[in-house]
Amino acid sequence: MSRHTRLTIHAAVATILASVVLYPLFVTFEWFWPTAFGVVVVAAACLAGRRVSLPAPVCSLLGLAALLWYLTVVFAGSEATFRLIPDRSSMAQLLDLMRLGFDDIGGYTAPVPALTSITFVTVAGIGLVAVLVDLFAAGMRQAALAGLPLLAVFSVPVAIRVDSIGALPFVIGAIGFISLLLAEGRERLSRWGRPVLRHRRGDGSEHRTADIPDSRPLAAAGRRIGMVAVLVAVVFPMLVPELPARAFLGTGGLGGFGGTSIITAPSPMVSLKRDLTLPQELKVMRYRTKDQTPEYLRIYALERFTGERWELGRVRGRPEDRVVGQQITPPGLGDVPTTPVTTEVSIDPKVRDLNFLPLPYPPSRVQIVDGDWRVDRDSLMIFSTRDVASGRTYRVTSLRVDPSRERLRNAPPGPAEIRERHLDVPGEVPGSVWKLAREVTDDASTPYGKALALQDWFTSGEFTYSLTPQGSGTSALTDFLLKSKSGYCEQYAASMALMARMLNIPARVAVGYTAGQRAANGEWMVTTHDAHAWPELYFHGVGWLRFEPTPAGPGGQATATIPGYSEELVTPGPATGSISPDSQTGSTDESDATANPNDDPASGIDGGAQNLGGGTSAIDESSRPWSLLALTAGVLAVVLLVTPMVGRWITRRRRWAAARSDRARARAAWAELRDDATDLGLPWRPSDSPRATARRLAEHLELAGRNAAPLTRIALAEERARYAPTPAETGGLKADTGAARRAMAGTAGASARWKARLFPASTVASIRRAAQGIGGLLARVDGLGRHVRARLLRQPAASSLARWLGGGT
Amino acid sequence: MTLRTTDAGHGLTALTETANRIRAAIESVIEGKPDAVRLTLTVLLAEGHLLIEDVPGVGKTMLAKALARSVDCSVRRIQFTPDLLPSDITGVSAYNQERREFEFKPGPVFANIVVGDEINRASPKTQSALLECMEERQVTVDGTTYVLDSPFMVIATQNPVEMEGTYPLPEAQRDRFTARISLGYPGPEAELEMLETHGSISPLDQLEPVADARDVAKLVEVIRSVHVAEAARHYAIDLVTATRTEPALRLGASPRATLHLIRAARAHAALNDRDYVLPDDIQELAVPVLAHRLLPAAEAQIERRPVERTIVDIIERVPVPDRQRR
Repeated sequence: MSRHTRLTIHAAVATILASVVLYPLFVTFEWFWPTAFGVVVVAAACLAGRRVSLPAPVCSLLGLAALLWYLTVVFAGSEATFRLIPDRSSMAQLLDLMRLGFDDIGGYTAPVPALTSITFVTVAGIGLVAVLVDLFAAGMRQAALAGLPLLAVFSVPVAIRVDSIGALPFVIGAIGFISLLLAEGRERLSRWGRPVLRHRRGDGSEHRTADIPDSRPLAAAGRRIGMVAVLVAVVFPMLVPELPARAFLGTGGLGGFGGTSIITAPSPMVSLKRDLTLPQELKVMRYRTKDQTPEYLRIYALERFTGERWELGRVRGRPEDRVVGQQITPPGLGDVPTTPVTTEVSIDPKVRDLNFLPLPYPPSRVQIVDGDWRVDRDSLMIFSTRDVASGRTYRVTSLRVDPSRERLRNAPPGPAEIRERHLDVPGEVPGSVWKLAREVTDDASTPYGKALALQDWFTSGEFTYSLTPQGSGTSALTDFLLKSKSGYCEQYAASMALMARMLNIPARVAVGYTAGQRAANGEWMVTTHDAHAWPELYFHGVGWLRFEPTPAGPGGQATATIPGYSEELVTPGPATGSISPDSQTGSTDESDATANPNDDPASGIDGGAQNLGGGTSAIDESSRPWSLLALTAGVLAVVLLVTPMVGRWITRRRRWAAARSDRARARAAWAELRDDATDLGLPWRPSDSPRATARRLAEHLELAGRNAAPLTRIALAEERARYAPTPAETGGLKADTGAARRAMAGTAGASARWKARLFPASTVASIRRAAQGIGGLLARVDGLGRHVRARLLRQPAASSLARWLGGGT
Repeated sequence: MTLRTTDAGHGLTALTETANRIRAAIESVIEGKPDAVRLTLTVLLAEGHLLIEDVPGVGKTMLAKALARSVDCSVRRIQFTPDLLPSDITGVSAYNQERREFEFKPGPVFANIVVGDEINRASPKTQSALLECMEERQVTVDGTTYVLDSPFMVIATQNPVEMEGTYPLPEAQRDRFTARISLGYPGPEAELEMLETHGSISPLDQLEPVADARDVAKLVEVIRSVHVAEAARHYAIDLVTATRTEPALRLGASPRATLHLIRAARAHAALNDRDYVLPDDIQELAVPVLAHRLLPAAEAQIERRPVERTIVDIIERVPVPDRQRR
């Protein structure tokens, strides 16, 4: 069977195996079969083209055409001519499906049900990947390049799901790619032409001269290397708990070691939506505070608006930004009265992959035991590239900022650096939104007034709260603002921040949790349903302030609260009805919450506060991961250096200790002699008998007479131990071993002696023997595959298929 | 510390004495070939048969005769010629007129030591008649089986197959000989001494027997008790197996070869005052015991690479087992 066939089949198989990684995104497995069959159709078309020797790009075009035909038959059969031939109406149907598919993908959180529209997008996407893989692998003979489209498939679940790909799908996908690489390697070898030599095989039969060279050893070696690589990739991260999987995938991994951390996090908006739509309410954290109306717990601050969604901007954590013992200065905060509030937060252990700490804004001091936590100086996000927050308890002192209305009204424009980063509005935002922003805030003259007008507008009752918004991308935003006026906190926060920017107020979107609900024991409980997003607006001299455009209460985000500095104008407003103040914990006290909560005699959580003081352990100020790292590296280096020497010493001790009989002592003496000779770099041939070895060593070292005697005695003792019915007496054998070692070392050079002492080669040899054992195991596993294949494909009808797949085995 | 390499009371001392006497007797006739003499003795004690292959006139027959004469036992010599018949070896049943019945007349094979001279000059049919006796140590004529004497040893000489008028022994028959040796030309000094002694008297005539058949049988008993450790057995098997997978060989050694190798190694160990076999014994005997059974592959023939060389390579390659296997 031709080489094209093998490469094409391998390319298709690799694509199908790689598509398996998409399974966590779907509820059921129904999407897989149409996808796999689509790949087969593409491969068949490309193969047909190659059979009639069409150029590679034409083959790919054929593949694309076949994909289109396949999609038409499967997804738009009812519209097509004779249900088979694509025409105008079937194309329209496919386009509609595609649009619907993208909308559905935007509307659902993974795992999604296998809707026709989403399946269509999947089949089309994997089909395109199949065409590309086929073009690279079979058309251009660059199987390594085919890894790029396959990698794109891998990146889909990584981008959408917060967790990374599981080990099994990864292994399956990797096996597909490795087999493709192998097939290409063997194909390349086969182009060298026909071998001239004839080989005789072990069974005496003449090996038929093949048309192509025997590439099986290459394939076997490749499979073994592949197995080891996949094994290491899967097992190594499991064995090293300090190295989170993110470190391999994200960009922040290496930054943790001293350098500035530039980190990327999974889209906070995606996880926000996922949290809010979870059917059951899961506990996220609990905290204790004396504050009667605790602030929101912010996790992320999103400062970059792409036109579709808000994303993390530049996040930096330099080594000097570690939070331990650090006084954090909130940006832009001037001489405004502030009250320090202490909160002790415990994150639930079940929370996964949270590398950012939920904190009330602005934190001024964070006490957290263990871990390399750093603060981004601009946004005051606190994060780690190596540690996760789950199960941790930390204590944060934050400032409750209480600016006067006067102060806010007269706030001067912020500094250039703040304005530069937080006033950017992408060009694709339609003019209607700009116009709307101006109309809504027409009456207000100051930035503060405009901010209040915006918040007022969003909460005026004109908008309804809904967890299933329509549309996606920029259109979703305009839809929300101009048409549907229905959405959840993401839309409210995103729109208000964007409109604030249009009105020249620096703004960003914060993602985190509301204050949650107070439990009977005085602790505050925060659940997934408290996930929230809100805008933060900048006023110079005061800093970043939270606003709350999302409707609160039963018809909105249940635990949302409106901050005091923005409340005054809301209360007398016409739309108070939409907010039910009674449902909000302590919101009525807000106006006189200049309020030092600590002075509140009615506070029922004094006991809790005592616990809080006593329960927090002191922060380990001396933990310096940097020096610890250096120390560890140093210790590791010393251990590595000393290991062979100590290993040799231990081996010697163990050998003599275990040798109780004459025979065992003779063997111990012989093993010692062998190791000593190996250490000194003396020749030791496994095909020599003991006495031949002794003779050879004595000749090599030019030992004679008395010097050679211990050597001979050891050899004869070993000889008798191995071959005679009764062993020799071995009383002086230990002394003989020492004498033999000294005799050997005496003739060796000084450098050889030191090398033998410090890096005994015999230890290395034992490591090599272990490696050989592993190699043998791999070979056996490898042979198993061939055996299974031979079993499965024994039927004559399948034997030709076996030849293609196995490459002539 | 004393290291004893012999075990007293094992008959080894007696064996060594007897063996040395025989060796000295033979060496008085064959000068300058101690290795060949030693190997001949080894094969005798290993209850094997010896094939001496060399060009004419180097003393093949002399060696065979010297051994035969130094052991006081029945010796018969058969000169193989192209017209020799199988019955000339095994014997015939002749009709006895007086007793009115068939009477078996034993052939020359009924002896302790049978010297088959120039065995490759006889027809294959006759050769095989002898070779069957060698393996089974019995002769069947007209449905009656006659057991041969013990000890029984065939010393066959043959000219290299390239010589004219010869029928090369087939592989299956060569396999029955325990060992093959070549004498080679004597050194100049040995040849000079030979001229001196052989000029005046025939040393063979002066040779007195130094042992008898019973002595040899006793020695064979001792040899059988020589210990072969599992490690040594494994080593022999490893070597033989290596000849079967060696690309330079077309035909590897048979299981019978393994058996012969171990037997010969026992004798070799005993002759060296040892009651246990070493890999060294096996290594030393590997070439004479294995070489005549192996066929070189075409490539090796083209390279003019002798089989002996291949065996040495195998010995240098196969590791000596240093511990018991599972």
